[in-house]
Amino acid sequence: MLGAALQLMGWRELDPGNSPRFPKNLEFVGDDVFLYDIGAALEFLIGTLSQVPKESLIDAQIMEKTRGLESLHNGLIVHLLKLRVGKPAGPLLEELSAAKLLLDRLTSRRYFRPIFRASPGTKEPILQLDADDLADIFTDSSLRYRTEREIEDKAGLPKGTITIHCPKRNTAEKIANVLLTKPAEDGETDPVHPLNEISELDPKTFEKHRVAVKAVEEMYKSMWRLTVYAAPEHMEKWKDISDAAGRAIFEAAGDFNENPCKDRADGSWPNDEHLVSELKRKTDAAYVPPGAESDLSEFGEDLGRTVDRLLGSGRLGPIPEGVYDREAGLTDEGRKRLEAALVAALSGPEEKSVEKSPTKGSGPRMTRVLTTVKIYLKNMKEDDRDSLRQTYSNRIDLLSAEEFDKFASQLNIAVIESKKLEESGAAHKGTKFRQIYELIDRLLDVPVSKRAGSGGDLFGDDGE
Amino acid sequence: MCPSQNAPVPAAICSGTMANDATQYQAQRAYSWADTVYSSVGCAAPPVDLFAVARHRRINRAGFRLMIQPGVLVPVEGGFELFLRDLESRDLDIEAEELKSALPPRQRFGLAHEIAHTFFYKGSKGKPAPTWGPKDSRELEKICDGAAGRILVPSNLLQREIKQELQGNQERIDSDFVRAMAARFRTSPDVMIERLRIVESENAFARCILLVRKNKGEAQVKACYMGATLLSTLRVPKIHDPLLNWFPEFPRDIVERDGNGRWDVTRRGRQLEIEKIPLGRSGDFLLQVDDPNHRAPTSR
Repeated sequence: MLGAALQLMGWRELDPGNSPRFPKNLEFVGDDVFLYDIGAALEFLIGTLSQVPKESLIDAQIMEKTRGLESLHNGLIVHLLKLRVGKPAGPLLEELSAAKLLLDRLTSRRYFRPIFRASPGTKEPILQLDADDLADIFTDSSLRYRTEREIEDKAGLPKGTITIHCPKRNTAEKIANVLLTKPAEDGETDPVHPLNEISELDPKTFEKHRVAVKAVEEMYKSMWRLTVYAAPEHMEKWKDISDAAGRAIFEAAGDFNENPCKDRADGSWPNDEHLVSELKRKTDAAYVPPGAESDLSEFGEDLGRTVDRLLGSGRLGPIPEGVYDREAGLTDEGRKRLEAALVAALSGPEEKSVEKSPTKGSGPRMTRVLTTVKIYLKNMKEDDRDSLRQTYSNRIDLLSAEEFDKFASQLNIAVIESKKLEESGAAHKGTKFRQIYELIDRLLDVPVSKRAGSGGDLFGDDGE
Repeated sequence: MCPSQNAPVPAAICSGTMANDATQYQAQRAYSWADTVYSSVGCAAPPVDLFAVARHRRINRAGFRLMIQPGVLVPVEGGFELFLRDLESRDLDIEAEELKSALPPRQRFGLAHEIAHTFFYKGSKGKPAPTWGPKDSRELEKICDGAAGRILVPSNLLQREIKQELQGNQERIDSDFVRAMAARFRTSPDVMIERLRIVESENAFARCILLVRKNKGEAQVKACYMGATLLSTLRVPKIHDPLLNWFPEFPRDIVERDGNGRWDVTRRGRQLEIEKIPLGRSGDFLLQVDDPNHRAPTSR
């Protein structure tokens, strides 16, 4: 993704024979500074270019807007603009915006999903090419860039939503080519051989080693994949994208080899069948487009909408991975919890065996408390969760169902109010975690009778 | 917004090359502003009318909300809105004079703390914008705590009370005086002790006044005003020091039993007299440690 972002920024073959080099000074910058500088420079340029008519060419007048910023952000602002002098502003703005989005996704770890894959056994019958050919062809980054944009065009996707990853066919080559030697006998030159020919040094001792090194090489070879990734929000169109990728890869490979069959309308590089069935299983269930008919009952759809509303309003915070995995969907633990909650919430009066909400016992109660707290403290660590659990589980257990309901509802109100105030620019910056403790302490300290009355004091002013 | 904010700022501080000095400089500016803001609203005697100070600082709305933060200040078009934490949501009528019953001492401190935050904003029209202030938010909160103490108990007003009530004899400062002044300035005893420590820092009397608070069963020092002649026997405790760490010979029953009382203790060969004065249901108490052989005069 980083490679695609850098190419979109302009470090690629812009015109035949014009492939700007990555600035030398950026090669020695730490990751965080690098990402920060690139992000900041992009933000500035996007802001500047969005005020310029799309058809205007990047000229001295636009360059003038960056005067005095030559050394800012490692000189990137001016450098990026200089790469495009004489080109129209509109497409540049589009490319920079796509690059910024890619970088944002990268830093927030919202990675793309695989949508097309070619494995070592892949073969294309029309072009008569296989994995070795594909690896040779697509190690060219400019070709990858062009193919990525071609797939986006064919599938009707915005720029920067497709990336292709294609490693060398023999990724273990570096290790296999490590040179080994041993002192020669009788004053001859010392023999030197690569690791994968280690047996040449001493066949008796190293023959088995040679076989093992070869086996590792083969293993690495079998792990090779060419993968096309797509932005997660477009996964619902996975079939179209997969078809577009197959077609674009076919065309690019045919073009590269100047194969006469490259323009055949039925030509398409086949997608890996395992990935296709995986995508079918996952996405057909998860990415039902809005308005499309689903297999769910009306009640099921209502339940889904309720969850969406809870998430949208913030009453339900980010769902823990232990409950819902982005890749695998609802986990066993998550399914169990939901089933228990649904049975408890929806059972009629005859369902005596099911304990009604809120369940007595700190597990579910603390989970509810932690889920609420997490709406406010999004980055709450595992240690913090454990600490809250240890501090309050017993006290929360002692509350009656009515007291717990009241407590949980007050905590919820406090979280929503606090978020609302922070969003409106509130300026208080205390230690959030300590403040949560203060609030929970106070809510648990105040007896229910007092809480029910008016004018309770959360500042504990007794005797003052 | 306030004249002191227009004061020139040393270039080295602006460039961030003097982080500690810059923070101290910011703190001093905030403190000197907070110490005199009472006079800007025409307040001549304690307690300071915080509603008047709030209006003066362009706070248009103040109230209570059930929320996580103890207090928040929200810059809005034309000034600020300010909210303090409480169980029930309600607004305060800050257009009127602050009545004695309007806020208990700790909520007054919370209000003063949020008012202090307004010092770090600029702009007399439109929505106030944050101005330069400490980058470390903990430093900012600390400065605002210090400024809140000064808004509630301005140095001039406290010195005037010492002059009037104790005939200017600071050696007569005792636990009774702390309580009387806390009530007069409508603040908590810990704020009052802290203000005395700053305003009358040079006191050679043989007395120590402490506010002790129980935290999870452990008695901890919350504030301390110490006479210099006791220092050879007792070091100055740190805030949140467990009482028994600071003074190992301290009789445990003073901490554990309710009610008031007097005890005699010998520390490093010196006889000391300890008096405990409980402060109501909270469990907090004041301790006054005297040297009976060099007894300081009392406020009575």
